[in-house]
Amino acid sequence: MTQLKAGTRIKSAVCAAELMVIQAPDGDADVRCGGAPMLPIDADRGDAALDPALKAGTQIGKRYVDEAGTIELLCTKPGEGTLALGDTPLVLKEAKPLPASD
Amino acid sequence: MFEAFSPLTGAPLLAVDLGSETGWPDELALAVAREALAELPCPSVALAEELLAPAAEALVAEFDLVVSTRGDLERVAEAVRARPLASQALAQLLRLSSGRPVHDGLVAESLVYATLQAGPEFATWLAARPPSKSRARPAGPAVRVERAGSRLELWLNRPEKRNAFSAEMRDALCEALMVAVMDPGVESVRLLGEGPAFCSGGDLDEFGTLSDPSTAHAIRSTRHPARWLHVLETRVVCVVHGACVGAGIELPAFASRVVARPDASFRLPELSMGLVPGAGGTVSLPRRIGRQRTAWLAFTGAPIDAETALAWRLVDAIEP
Repeated sequence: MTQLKAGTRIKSAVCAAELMVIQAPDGDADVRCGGAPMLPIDADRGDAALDPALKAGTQIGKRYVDEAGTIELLCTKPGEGTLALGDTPLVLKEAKPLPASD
Repeated sequence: MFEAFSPLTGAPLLAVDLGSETGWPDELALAVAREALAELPCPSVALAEELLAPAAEALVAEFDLVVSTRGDLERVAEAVRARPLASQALAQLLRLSSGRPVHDGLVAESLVYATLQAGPEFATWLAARPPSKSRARPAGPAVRVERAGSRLELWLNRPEKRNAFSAEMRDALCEALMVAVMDPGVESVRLLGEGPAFCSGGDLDEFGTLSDPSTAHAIRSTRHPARWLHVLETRVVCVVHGACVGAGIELPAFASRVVARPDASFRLPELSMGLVPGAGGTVSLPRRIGRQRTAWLAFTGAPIDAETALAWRLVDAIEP
């Protein structure tokens, strides 16, 4: 795929998911959702199909990262597909919980 | 003279009957009075029962509160006598934030809140509060997030606790608001409450659980939904109903539009706990209803209904 930049919005080719790039890897990044390469936000979806084995889904407001911490995506619209960098699925990054301040 | 108006060395409150004043303003005397009121180490209340003489009219805006009856004056005095330390801090905070940028006001509010968290009045309230009524841990997200096209809808989702504002709800709301902050494709955000009340205020079960006031200030400085509601201000509509207590009105008041259901009522209870409003209310309410009406709500804890809130422009509309 193409080079990503922090602040770029991308969308899934196979489900409703939209994501915002928070941190982009150096060089070209093969970011996929549901098995298909992700698209620029304003691109036509085409006819790619969701791989039934890659349906972990995305939740709105959650952040997704790779183990090495080279990429971070914020889900701004949820979908059914599994996010991945190449063949490696991204994992949910939980925000650090803070205690009550009362 | 200065020390005569302090909760420690004198009276905890200055009340002035502006009706007893006569004559035309003496500019020098007015300037001295203005400065004295701005620096007074206790709250000041003006009693203005009738049309004011010019000298009194020129001074009335400088008081922390203005009341129109002796009964109302007594309500304020009673609250101040019960919590003189929090009252002093509240009056000073509202003066300090007045006309300042939102961010400055939020920092000041949190610092004052932390100071009072370490104080004896909060400790007394904690020791006397009724035991927790909380039951099993509720299911589902604390804030339900729905996205349809360019619209984001956020539902406070702890109806069995009347959406008491907990750390969990704070975190979920911040996370959801961040979607709109980051994504320019979100054109509007609606914030609503599930169940019988929009939000019954801070989660009382969590009060007193802080490790220390300094860390509590750091937490509020790190993660505070007021900050993001202010950033999103013009894109946010809050739809409030039932009890809107403490955070339940402090947070909505940051939005550029607040719609109340006819059953909505509004109240700031924090002073009775030895605290000040801590969810941004000392910033958001004065921007809507002015410093003196904010002070009336915050000092007395008196509820107002939707009609009054609309008349004061605490809300922008009442819709069934």
